[in-house]
Amino acid sequence: MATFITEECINCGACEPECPNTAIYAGGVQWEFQGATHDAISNDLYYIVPEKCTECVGHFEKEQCAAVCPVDCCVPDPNKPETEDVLYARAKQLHPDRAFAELSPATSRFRK
Amino acid sequence: MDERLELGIREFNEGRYFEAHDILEDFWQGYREPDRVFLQALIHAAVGFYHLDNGNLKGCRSQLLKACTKIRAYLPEYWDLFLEPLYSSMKEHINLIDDQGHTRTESPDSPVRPRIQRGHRVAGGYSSIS
Repeated sequence: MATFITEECINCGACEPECPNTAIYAGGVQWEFQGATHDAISNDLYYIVPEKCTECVGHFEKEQCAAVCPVDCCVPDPNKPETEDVLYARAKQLHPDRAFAELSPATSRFRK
Repeated sequence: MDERLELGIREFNEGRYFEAHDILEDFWQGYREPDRVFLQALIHAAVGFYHLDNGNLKGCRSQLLKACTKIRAYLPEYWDLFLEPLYSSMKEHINLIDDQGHTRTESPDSPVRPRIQRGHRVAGGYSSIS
């Protein structure tokens, strides 16, 4: 599932620079994907673009936004369940120039 | 006591919850468990009351509940902080939200906001330091 930010968010912005996929935007800020811009998903709170979220698969052992959020408001979206394969494919699509190593506990929360 | 924690507590006690959260968040980053979880409980408390001030009752309830769950392990005191009044007040606010959809500004009978008190255990109770 993509990670999403709940209404418990206090807009501190700690999560935004941690995302390896630049999937996190401040409220009201348009998001970008493959050269196109899109309307903000939230006008009030930081938000995560599902199309750009890989739950940090391919990058880290767990979601970095959740790791730095003291409010615990970056959580898996139960309405967007996704497999590791789907998330890994997305990571490769988002970073076509990067050579990804085989997934391991260090690069996928599914391997714990 | 660390100056940053002292400052964060002062902001909390004066009702500047966003500022309190901000200071404690910076402080929190450098710690490991169990201190990390304790500091996170204080952050949840600050964020909870911030949401209450802004009418976000759902966010308030969730944060105060997280604060209560985490802080329970540190009762009655930790780092020379007397935590029971804070814990009791948070539970009271949660109950009022559940029962009445309470907000402080809407109800003159709402409980006062808690203060995080420095203090230590003495015979028959607690002695407040500040």
